[in-house]
Amino acid sequence: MARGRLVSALAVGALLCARGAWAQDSPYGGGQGAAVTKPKDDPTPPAPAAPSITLPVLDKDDGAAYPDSALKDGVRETVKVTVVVVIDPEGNVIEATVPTPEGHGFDEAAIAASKTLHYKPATKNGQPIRAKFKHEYSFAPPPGRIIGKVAERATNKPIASATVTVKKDGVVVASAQTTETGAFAIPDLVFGNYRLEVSASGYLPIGADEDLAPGSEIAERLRLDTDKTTAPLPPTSAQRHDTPPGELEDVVVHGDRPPREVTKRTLEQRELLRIPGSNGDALRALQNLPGVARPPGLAGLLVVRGAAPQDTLIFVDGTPIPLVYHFGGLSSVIPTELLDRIDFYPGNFSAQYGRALGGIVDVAVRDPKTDKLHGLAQVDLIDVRLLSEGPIAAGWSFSVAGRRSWVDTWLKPVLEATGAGVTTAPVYYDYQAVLEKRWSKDQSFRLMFFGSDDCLDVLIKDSNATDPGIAGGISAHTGFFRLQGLYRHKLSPDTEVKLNAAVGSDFIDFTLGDVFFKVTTYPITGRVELSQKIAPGLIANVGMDMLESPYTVSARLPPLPRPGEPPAGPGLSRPPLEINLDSTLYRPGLYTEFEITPFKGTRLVPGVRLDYSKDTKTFDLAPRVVARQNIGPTFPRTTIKAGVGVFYQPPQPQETSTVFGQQGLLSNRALQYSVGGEREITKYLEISVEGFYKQLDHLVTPGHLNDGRGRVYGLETLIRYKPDAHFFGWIAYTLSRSERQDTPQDAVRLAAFDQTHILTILGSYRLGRGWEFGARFRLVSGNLFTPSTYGFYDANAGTYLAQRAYPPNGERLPLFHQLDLRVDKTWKFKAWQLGVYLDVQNIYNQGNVEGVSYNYNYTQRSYATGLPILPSLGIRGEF
Amino acid sequence: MGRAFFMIVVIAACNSGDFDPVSKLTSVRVLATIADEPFAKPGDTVTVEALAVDARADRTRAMHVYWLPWVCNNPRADLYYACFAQLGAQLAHLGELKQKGLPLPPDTPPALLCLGLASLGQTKDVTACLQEGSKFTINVPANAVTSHPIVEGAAAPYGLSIGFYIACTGGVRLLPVDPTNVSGQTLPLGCFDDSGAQLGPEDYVFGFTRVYAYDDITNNNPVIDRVTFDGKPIVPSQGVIVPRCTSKNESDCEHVVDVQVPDSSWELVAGNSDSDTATHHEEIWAAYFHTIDKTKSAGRILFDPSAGRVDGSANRFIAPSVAGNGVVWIVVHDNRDGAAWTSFPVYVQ
Repeated sequence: MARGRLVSALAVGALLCARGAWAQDSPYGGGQGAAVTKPKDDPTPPAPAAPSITLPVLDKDDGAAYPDSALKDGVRETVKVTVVVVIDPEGNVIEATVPTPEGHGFDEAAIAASKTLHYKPATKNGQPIRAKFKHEYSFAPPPGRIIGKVAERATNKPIASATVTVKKDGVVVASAQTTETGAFAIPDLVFGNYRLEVSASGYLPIGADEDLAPGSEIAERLRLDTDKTTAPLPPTSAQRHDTPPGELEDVVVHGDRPPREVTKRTLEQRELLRIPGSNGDALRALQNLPGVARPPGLAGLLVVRGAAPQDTLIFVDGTPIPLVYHFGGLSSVIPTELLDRIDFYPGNFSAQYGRALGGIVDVAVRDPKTDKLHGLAQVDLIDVRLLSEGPIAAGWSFSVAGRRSWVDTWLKPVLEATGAGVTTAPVYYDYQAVLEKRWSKDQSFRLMFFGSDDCLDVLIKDSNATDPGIAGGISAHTGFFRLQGLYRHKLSPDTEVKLNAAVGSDFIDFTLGDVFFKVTTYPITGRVELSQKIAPGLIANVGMDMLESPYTVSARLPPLPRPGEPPAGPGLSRPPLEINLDSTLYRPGLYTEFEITPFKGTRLVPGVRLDYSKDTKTFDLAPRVVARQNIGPTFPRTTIKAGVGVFYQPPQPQETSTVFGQQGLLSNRALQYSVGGEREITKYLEISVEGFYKQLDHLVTPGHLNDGRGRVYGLETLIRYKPDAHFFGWIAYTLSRSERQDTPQDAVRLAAFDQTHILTILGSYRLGRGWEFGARFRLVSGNLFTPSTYGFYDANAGTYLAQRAYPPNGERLPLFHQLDLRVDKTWKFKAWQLGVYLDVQNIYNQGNVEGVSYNYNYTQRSYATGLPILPSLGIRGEF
Repeated sequence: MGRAFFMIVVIAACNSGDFDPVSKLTSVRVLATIADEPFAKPGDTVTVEALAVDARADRTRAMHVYWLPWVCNNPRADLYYACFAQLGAQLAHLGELKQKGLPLPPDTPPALLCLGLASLGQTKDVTACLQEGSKFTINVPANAVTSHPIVEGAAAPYGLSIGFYIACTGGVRLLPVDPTNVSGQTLPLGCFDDSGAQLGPEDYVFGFTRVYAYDDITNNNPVIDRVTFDGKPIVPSQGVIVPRCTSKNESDCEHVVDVQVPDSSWELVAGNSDSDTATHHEEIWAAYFHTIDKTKSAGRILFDPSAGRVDGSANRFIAPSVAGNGVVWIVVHDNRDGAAWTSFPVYVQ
């Protein structure tokens, strides 16, 4: 808060000279020839300048408050505002005006302050009289302060007596010692750029640069690495996980650069675990973000900006994986407990990612804890999971985790009791093992082995009325594993190298009656990236990634109709096609990208990516550029952003197969545009709006090469309250339309996953005493379907074939809406804690429509509804 | 728990529905066709018989089975509805030749010419142009296989011939082509009553039957050895007599119906093996139909392609609560266009 100062006043006589008309008009005397002395700040009576006139004397001045709007507008200059005041014979200000407005709220602040002034009145011949004069306020930018806590990185324990030094232009301007809780505060800092340095005995010093805005406060959490010459345990990045519930703070993480993408959405640990309706499953939580459609029914799919699920790639620390979810989306293949964060890029992503038209999900696995041995056990009615982690030796740490479903043991009798035609349940498991070596905060190596396996074997004895081939033995076995190595080394403050390599296997083994599909691949993936700061404001990133994947395919399948074309009949109506093939998929890529900061607040990221696909023998050159511009001061930040780029996605392997695919294909292509803005309202509340347009062409259409085309456009809005000590939540709304045209001769149709409106409102609040309550509400346009009517009879198969409306996807299911609630209770004991949660989906039991059922000859139809009210109870213990 | 129940609900939804089962006969239905050669050789003559049933309560108008006097050979992508454009073009050409008095192709069947003229709007009712009867002859062209585009991945080169029929309780007329339907999947024939009103699905079935032709691959129709009812063989001409159901519990009124198909019908599918060198045979299933309530399942798997004979493949006949007579049909299919059927009367006392 700033105070205005009275610095001068004009003598009434001078005033009269300048404004004689006013003096003549005065009803309070001071008429022609009257003289008034200059008012003074001090209470000493003024010396009489004329026998009968005394000047008013200021005797009360509370000062003027520095206006908030000036803070928001980022005004950094000292501003002077002159107010013309009129006082009555009692010395009260009865009128105040600003002849020369300065804006930014200064004028209002000056007027408001001047009306609280009080004077000993001017007198004429000993009688108090009215007077008019000028009063000036000077508004200097108020000081700010830096507060924070200092803690040990590995254990998160506060560090007392650490020295925090603040330098400006290399000169120490302030310093402080941390308290027992590691806290420090450095007040009264004039705005500007500061260098913050922290040192403590037994720890490596760190520093951070801050731009302190006028009147602002910067809250820091600084974590020091132990000096390995005095302490054996290296630091890890598990600090966020280590943060006990209830002590989450707004953490300024130094070293994170602004995103290379137009939009990068990051979900934090608490959000991942506590979003209602997702059962604490991180990757299912993704489905609540803008741009992500609600998948139909039990489909465990990620549908991003109207793209097909296979158009979105999933990475685990940079290594692509083939599956996100276990069967039916019951849970994801990487348990939430192992995740550090999930970065989600709905479009216009960096050149470091390629071979995708949709979005990118990059899952970051957290480092193992290093302070002591930890463990976790969780069980609900679906699966059981275990986790253990801790230090091994100097600089080494580990984590192992596993999960297995056990629904198969109790679901069978339930299914039999309900008379369901299928009386068995899938079995799945996944596993992860991490071994990490950390030499310093700048150099680390991690080895990770992880995988997933889903298996279902069932014998259906009833034949299917619409496709008799869908009966008999059904066997589905899918899975993958990876052995991954990650190495990161910051060679110097300006140079960093990241290496990522993985080998493994993916497999699908599917048999349904007479048809089967068996694929085994052995992908070898790698990525190398060099980041080099070339000059102030210029960083170059150069990298290459590679996918080489030998594979074997053995399949016997009916020919598939092309999109939009009614099938020739049930699966058995055409001679099946068979293939037995060994081959290798080879797809290397090169990319380079520059992070340019020409001015403060401006960021340009031009990049280009070159991909090669051995199966299509084509090179794809994909230039991209992203621009971000901060407007105004550091806080609250306003950013406008835009991006444009070319994106390619090679055909799926089956699309280039000599049997099931076509020869001579090119990559699918998308030209993506997006423009938007982000605005911080408070430290926790922010709003972002982004419009996008994707022009699709060269889309692979069975039987018609790359004749497909389409477009997707829409608007994504996110109002998000980031996690504080009590609450997190957001409102996400997406308005979009996704269209396809399979060939130039076909009509334009809506894409299968088009959803016009997607609204998600969710929040979670900590009530105290270990209780947390959350709710999620979703309102989403219904999914599309193609209406069918009475048509033909296939006498060979004994089934009716519908007449299918043209173009496809012409009708939409009713609006979907659902409310989910979640309650968590945690008990903390001395050495461990116990948690219980109840996650209730569809609390008001809305009968949402998930599909359309027809009778055997398509003369009648009815809606098939999905999820009823469903409680899910889980228990979890950890130490 | 939520996820699991979700799965149950979806599974239940897939199997549920308040619709009548496909096995319940209440309208004009075609239950199957049988070709004397399920897989023909080029140049063969194949006789196809349709099993049509009129299960309407009111049979004032009699049901007739009519065949298009034309066989569609090797349509685009083996799509049955791609034949309609082929037929339309041929009919229009014939009609135009006739109208202009130009000579017709020498082997033009009169019935086809009749349809050609009808396509020009000269007549509405084309019933007379069609071949009536349950049997139809398909002459597989000698070049059926060689004229079919090579299909990469198929076990062997093949040809395809398709015959079309309509079981109708009135007169048959050509239907106008829907110009907005680019897919071409539109009905070419409709069933009309004497007043010219188009009849609905209760009164007609428009269908087709395929005959695949191979140079070397053959297939035999499955064989029905016998049908047993509560473990006893049925004499089809005599049928079975069952008491009406007086219990509220359906399971008290169940009778086991089983169709016996010999192992020899479970033929090996040539060239069909996966990477594990496992061989696959035909899939064989039995479809059940009834005019009197009811069977527990509409169809049961008899032989799985890899597992072989399926244990417990018998069906259940559930006696109705009122007395009456009806018929049960059992059609045995294999997944290579082979079929066999049998039926027996049921007398509910």
